Amino acid sequence: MAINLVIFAEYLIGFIFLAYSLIILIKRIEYENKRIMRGYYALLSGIGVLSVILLIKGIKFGLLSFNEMASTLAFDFVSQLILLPIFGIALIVGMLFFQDA
Amino acid sequence: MVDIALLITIQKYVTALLLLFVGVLWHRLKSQGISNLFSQPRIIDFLVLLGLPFILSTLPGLPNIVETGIEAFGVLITSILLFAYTYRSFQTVDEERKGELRELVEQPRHPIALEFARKIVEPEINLIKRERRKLSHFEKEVDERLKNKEDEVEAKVKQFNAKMDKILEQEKKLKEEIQKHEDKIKEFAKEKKLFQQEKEQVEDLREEIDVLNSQLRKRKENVKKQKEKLKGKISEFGEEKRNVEKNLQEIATFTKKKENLQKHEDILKNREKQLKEKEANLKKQSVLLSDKDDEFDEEKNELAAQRKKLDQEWSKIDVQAAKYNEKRTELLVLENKLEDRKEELQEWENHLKKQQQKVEEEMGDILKKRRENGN
Repeated sequence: MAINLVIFAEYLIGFIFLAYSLIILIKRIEYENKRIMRGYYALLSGIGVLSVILLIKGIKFGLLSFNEMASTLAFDFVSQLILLPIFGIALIVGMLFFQDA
Repeated sequence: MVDIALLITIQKYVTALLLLFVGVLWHRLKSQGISNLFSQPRIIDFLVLLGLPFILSTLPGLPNIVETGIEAFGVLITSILLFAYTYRSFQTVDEERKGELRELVEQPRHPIALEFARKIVEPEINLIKRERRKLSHFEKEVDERLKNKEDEVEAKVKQFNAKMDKILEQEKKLKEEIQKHEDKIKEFAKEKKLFQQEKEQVEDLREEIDVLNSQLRKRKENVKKQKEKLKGKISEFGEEKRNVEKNLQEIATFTKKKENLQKHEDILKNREKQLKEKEANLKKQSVLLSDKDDEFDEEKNELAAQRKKLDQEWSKIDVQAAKYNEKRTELLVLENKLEDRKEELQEWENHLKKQQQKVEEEMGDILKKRRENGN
C-alpha cells in the first residue's frame, strides 16, 4: 500500500513537471528555427500524450493505495495499449520532420 | 481478460521498439549535424530520454514492482531534468531578449530600432493616416446621408400624419357602417328565426296536406265511380234543367224591370213633393195677390195662366200615376205567376231528388244481389 502511494506521488509529480515544462516549451518555440517547427510540434504533442499517460497511471496507483481490489485493467488498457504507442509514434514523426529539415 | 493483458504486454514491447527507433534516429540526425539548427538541442535529448524508462521496464525477468518503480522513478527524474533545463534555458534566452529590448529603448539611434521604425512602424503609421482620412470622408458622407434621410423621414412623417387623419375618418365611417350592418344582421337573425318557425309550420302543413291528398285521391276514385254511374242519369235530367234555367233567366229580367219601375216611382214621388211645395207657395202668393188685386191685375192673369199650366201638369201626372198603377198591378200578377212557377220547380226538384234516391237504393240492391250471387 505504501509503495502504491509512493508510485502515485512519483507519477503525479512527474506529471506536474512534465506539464509545466510543456508549457515553457510552447512559449520557447518562437525562438526556434522555423524549419524545424513542425518536428517540434510533433514532439510537444508526444509530451502531451505522455503527461496524460502519467496522470492515468497516477490515478491507477492512487486508487490501488486505497482499495487493492480496484480494477486496473481499464487504466492499463487506455494508457499502455492506446496512448503509449501514440507517444512513440509522435516522437518518430517529430524525428522524421527533423530529418527533412 | 487474459487476451487483453497479453495484448497490453505485446503493445509495451512494440512501444519500446518504437522508442528505441526514435533514439537511433535522433543519434543519426545528431551525427549528421542537425543539432546546429537547434538553439538548445539538449531539450530533444531529454525528450528522447523520456522513452528510456518504458524501454527499461520491458527488460525480462523483472518483478512487477521493480518494473513500475523503474518506470515511475525514471519518468520523474527525466521530467524534473527536462523541466529544470528548459526553465533555465528559457530564462537565459528570455533575459537576453529583454536586454536587447532595453538596449533598443535606451538607444533610440540603435540601427535595429531605426530599421524597425522605418520598415515596420512607418508603414503602419501611413496606413493609420490613410484610414483616418478615409474615415473622415466616410463620416462626412454619412452626415450628408443622414441629413438627407432626416429630411426624407420628416416629409414621410408629414405624409403619414395626413394619411393617418384620413384613415381615422374612414375608420369612424366604417365603424358606423359596421354598427348599421350589425343591426341589420340582428334583424335578419330575427327574421330568420321567424322564417324557420314558419318553415317548420309549412312542413307540418305539407305532411298534413300529403295525408289529405292521399285521402282525397281515394275519395276522387270513389267520386269517379259514382260520377260514371250518375252520368247516365244526369243526361236524362239535362233537358229539365235547361227549362229551369230559362225560367230563372226570365225571373232575372222581371226583377230588372221591377227595379226600373221602383226608380220611376221614386222620381214621381219627388216631383209630387216639389209640386206640393210649389202649390203651397202659390197659395201664399194668391193670398198676397188678393190683397193687392187692383194693383196687380196683370200679374193675376199671369198667375191664372200658370195655374192652368199647373192644372195641365197635374192632369199629366194623374195620367202617369194611372199608368203606373196599371203597370204595378201587371207586375204583381207576374210576380204571383213567378212564385207559382218557383213552387212548381221546387216540387219538381224534390220529385227528382226522390227519384235519385230511389235509383241509388235500386243500384245498392242490385250490387247486393250481385255480391250474393258471386258468393
